[in-house]
Amino acid sequence: MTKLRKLAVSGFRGARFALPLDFSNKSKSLAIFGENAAGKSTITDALEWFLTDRVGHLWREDCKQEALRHVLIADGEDSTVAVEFNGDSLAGEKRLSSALKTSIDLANDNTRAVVEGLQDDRIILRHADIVAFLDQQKGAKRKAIADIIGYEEINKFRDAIQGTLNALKREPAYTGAKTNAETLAGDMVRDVGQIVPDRQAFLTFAQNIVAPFKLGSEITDEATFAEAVKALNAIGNSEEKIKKAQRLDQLAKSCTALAADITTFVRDVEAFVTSYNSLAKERESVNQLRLSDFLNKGQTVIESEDYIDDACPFCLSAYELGALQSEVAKRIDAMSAIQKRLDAAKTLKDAVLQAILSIEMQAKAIGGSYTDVTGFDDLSAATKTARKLLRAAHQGLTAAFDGLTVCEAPDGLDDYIARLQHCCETGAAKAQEEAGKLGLSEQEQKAATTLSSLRTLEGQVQDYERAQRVIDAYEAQILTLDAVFERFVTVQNAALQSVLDTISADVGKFYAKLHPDESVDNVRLTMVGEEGVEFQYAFHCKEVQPPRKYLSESHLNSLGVVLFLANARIFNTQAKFLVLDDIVTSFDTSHRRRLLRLLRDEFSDWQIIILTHESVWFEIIKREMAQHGWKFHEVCADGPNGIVLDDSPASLKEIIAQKKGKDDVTNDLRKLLEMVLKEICASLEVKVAFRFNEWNEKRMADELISQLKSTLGDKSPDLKKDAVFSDLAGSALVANLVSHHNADKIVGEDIDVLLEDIEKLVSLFSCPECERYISARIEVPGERAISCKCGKTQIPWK
Amino acid sequence: MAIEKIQSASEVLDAFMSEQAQDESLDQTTTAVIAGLRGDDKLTRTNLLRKLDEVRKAALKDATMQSEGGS
Repeated sequence: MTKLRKLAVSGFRGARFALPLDFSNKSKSLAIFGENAAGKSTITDALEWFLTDRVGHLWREDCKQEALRHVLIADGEDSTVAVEFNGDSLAGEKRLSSALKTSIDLANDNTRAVVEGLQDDRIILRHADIVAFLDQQKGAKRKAIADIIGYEEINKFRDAIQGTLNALKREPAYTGAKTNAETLAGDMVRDVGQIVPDRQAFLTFAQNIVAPFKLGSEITDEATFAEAVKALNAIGNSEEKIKKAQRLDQLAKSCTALAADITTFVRDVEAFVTSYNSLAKERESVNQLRLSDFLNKGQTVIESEDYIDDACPFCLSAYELGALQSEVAKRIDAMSAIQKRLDAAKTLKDAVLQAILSIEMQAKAIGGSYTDVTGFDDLSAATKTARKLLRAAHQGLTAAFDGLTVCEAPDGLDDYIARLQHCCETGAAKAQEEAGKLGLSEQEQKAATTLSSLRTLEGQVQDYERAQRVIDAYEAQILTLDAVFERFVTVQNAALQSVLDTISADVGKFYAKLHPDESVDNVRLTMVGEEGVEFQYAFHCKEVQPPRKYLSESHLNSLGVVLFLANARIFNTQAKFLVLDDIVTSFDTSHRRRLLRLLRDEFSDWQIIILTHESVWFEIIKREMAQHGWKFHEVCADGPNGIVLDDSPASLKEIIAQKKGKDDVTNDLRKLLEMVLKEICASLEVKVAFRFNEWNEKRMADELISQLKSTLGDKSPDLKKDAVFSDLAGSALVANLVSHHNADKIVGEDIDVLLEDIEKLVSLFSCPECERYISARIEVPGERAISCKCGKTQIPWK
Repeated sequence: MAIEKIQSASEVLDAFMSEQAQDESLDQTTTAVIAGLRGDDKLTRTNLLRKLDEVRKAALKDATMQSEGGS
């Protein structure tokens, strides 16, 4: 796992000149303080850009590469971010030229692999990101969790199966085959009183209707069927006449059926055109339907009890709420009426399209299957012309409906359809007349009718089987995809739930550490419905979701922070470091301490980088984490020179080691003395004048020494006489630093003398054993004295 | 904390598809097409529709030849 050793930024964001951060070979954790707008986020941005080639919060605002270069960096000079990781020669430098071209040099392939691994890990948490997840819809939360754990592949699989399944169900070949099979089934029931689903059933049926002719043999297969047909044709005196009568009978039936269908078709077309074209002329109203969801959701918002503003919740324009509710309701009603009309038009359109296909098929059969029957040339010609126009009508109607344009029939369609109907009616009559002229006996007539029925049924069965094969081919796939999809949803949910359980274990544990003894318990992520994920928790033992229902802003922030920490600990495969950029703004002091302890206890082997603009929080971190080897820096903006980084003393030992021998440590010494005095005063409960907020933190050494001595005068007069107080009071540090901006420098041996004085002051009030200050709250039983926590160091105390 | 191993997306899908391949109630050609496209990292709606169309056409051709050859 990877940690940071060095990060050096130059010409990037707020850093005009080199801004080096050295985490040491031990990759120490680090806290950085900087006032608002001091430029500390430059460090976070630099790391994010180095790893991911983007800075999320800038890119979202469409501020890209040009926002990364320091505004005063010279043309021709590159912005650079150099990173060194722990491990063997893992380093790289990324540059952004003045032409906004990015280039990167990585030390080796191992570094490349590390950087690639880091790209998928959770490293940086900014305040703005904390509640982003909480504010997402349940479906988006689910997707976000799926993304975190790399389940895009699962989503992709599911989407491919579901998309294919839906598309297959709608394919015209499938829906057409189903409609065709239904029509044929209806025709068979009408003609022979039953559905004859296949060839074998047809042969059985054939046997039943030829039985009365007592032909002497039974139809059991194709050969015996052929023999039976031959025998039927041979009944009476003229085989040819029977055949002709049978064909004329079939033609008459076909013509009658088509003429009847045309009547229905013409009526349906008229109904569709009237209904649809009026809608197409109100195209703008129909287009407004896309706002239906929006308006319905808006209506829910403005009619909820929580919404009481006299303003549109979307654009915030002033609007009397009652009038807004009424207006929205009116628009929803209007859209509902349009939707109903559109749905009705679609039903009519589907019926018309189906009728066109059916008439076209029948016309094709009549025009192409009766070439052996002479004298029907007009009918044949009418079918050809009508078919051509019907195909054009089908295309035109589909395109008009899809494009919401007025539907117009192809030129001449009405006339040719009317002509086809007329030809069908006259053709049927003529066929019956021609059949009558053949002069068949009753037995011959029966044979001809039976043969005609068998021939018609044979064609219907063949078409029915063909349609059924198409349906079967589709349904084998559809049923399988349906089953696969349904099972996969279960598997996917189980996999996701397992992940949620794992995350929840840490989230619940971390949250409880931040908020012990509170009425919120058992915080976890759960599945909601089929498509959502939500936080759930027990509030006064009652299960509650979503989080915003009862949790305060501070608790919501906690939730966001613990989710990030849990995800990082569970799913990071490469990064063993975290950058927490201003994440505790809404936390009170006790919760900040608990967060530090959570980091200390659960992330003790991680490198943590905390950036903050709050001095109080920074001091808490110092107090709590200095003993755990953390480093501390402060950043400030130095006008045109960009941001400047300083060490921030956290302990006497550290300041001695770091500052001795350097040019100017005056400010550090002042801060150190103030810090020590503040700690002693706090521990001994020294009373000082009240001040607001950060001014309370900006007390100077002379005031603190004076108040400390005053308290000691009352409580421990001998200590007040200690020489260290007069030494400090007379030192250059206190004498000179009546102002935080005093320019006088303390140099040379004076530094050592002052450090010794400060150490003496610390040793006067602290325990060498437990390294804690003596506290006014720890009274030594039976004595007028107070002690440190371990009790080994005491001072007299009245 | 001992973190229970979380199955990767590929592991979840491998196990799932292998289970479906054993299920005789499903159309094995369809499951094979899905598995094949997934193996080639080409499982998309368009690709799956195309492959299934090819499979259907081949199956219909065979069925038509058998049926109409027999009658």
